[in-house]
Amino acid sequence: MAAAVNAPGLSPSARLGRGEVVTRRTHDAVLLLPIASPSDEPVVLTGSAIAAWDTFEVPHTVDEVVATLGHRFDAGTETIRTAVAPLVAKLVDAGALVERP
Amino acid sequence: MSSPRVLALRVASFGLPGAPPMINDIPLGENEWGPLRDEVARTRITGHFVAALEAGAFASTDAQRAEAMRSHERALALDLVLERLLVHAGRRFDAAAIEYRALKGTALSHTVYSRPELRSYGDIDLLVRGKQYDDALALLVEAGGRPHFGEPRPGFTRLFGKGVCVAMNALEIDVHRSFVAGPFGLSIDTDDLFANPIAVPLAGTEVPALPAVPRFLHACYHAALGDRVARPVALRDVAQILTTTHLEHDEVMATARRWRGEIVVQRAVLLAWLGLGLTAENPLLRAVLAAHPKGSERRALQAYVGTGHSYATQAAAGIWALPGVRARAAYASALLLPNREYARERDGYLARWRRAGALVRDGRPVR
Repeated sequence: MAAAVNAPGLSPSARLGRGEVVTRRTHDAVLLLPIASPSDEPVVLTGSAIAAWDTFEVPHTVDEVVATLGHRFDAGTETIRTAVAPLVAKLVDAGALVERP
Repeated sequence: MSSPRVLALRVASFGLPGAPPMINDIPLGENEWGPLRDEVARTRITGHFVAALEAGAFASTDAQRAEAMRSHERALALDLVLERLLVHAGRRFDAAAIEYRALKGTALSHTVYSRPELRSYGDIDLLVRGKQYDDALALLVEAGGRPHFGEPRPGFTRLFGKGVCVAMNALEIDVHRSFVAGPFGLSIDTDDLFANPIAVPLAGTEVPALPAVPRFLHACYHAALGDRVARPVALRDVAQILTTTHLEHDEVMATARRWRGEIVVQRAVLLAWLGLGLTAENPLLRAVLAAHPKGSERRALQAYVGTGHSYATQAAAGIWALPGVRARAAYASALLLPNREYARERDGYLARWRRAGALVRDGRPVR
């Protein structure tokens, strides 16, 4: 069974793009801090999560991101979706990803 | 064995044209590594340090490298929190029609460095116009800010001061009216600083910052006058701009002359070149070194870097930078007859002024 993006009110066909967020990059991590976040702790992305974040530079649906990463990493759709869905839910919850037209 | 300061300067020069490509080729022992690691973090040059480690220009053990990476990530996390504060403060200022410019770290990291990760910072610096200074400060206080110091008289900073540091929870915003206190700050034409801003894209918004020439001059004022011993990051800023940004040197020197600050630029460039051990030729460097600052500028510089210099000597020397008797009278009376609370907060306030007066009495430093 496909993993769902567990973000309240988010439709599966929603196009998501980067929200108002400030970022820094190291050789193996991306640090994100959404402007509206009450926390002083940045979200830290590593590994394939960085590739997913980079894909959202242009708004995409989750399905499109899964397909793009599937080609890139030569992995099955469900494997990629299982990894991407909780990441997207976390980023939407933090305000780092938002719905775009 | 090199001191942490000497090693930190070498780290701060990494990647600049004319800088030594290799900093050290054998990992430091723990007695040298620990102090250097702390100095790099304290002086906020973790970005250059990690760049040197990754390029193999600074030999390290795996454990040292991991420590340096953790320290860098802590610096970057603080940069992000400060950048978020800048966006929020900028929005408040925009909503209240208060014109501002982002200065120093936040602006430089996105404009003169190839990656913002190379330039970390410890606070936010904002410049506002003198006529909007009190409104800007009130807005930050309304948002929970606490100014660190009061004024000798109401309205003093708006007319004559450098600015004030405002604590915002655990963070700080330096609200500037000018670059520095005293004669060099009073001689700057602050209208120049609000012409032709550049836009720094940040989190979907655009933050206004200084254009190239005032940006370079500000880096020089900070490096030459900001601290008793210039910080490596301030010297790197001067060298970074000088070696990576196209600047019309006639315009740079004409502006510095008009601000009566040629000696400030000369001092900053010399400190940067000597401190960072640079050897590269540069046309602007030649133009700066060929300048002949006035004797009055040399005397004014003593109020900042000479024996016995202090905020009081700078302020006392500032009187000669002001145009006209009325401005000088207002300036002097505010400093000599401050309100009680201001004097009470500063033990020995009048004694310091007597000493400062004696130091500058014969100088008439700037005009």
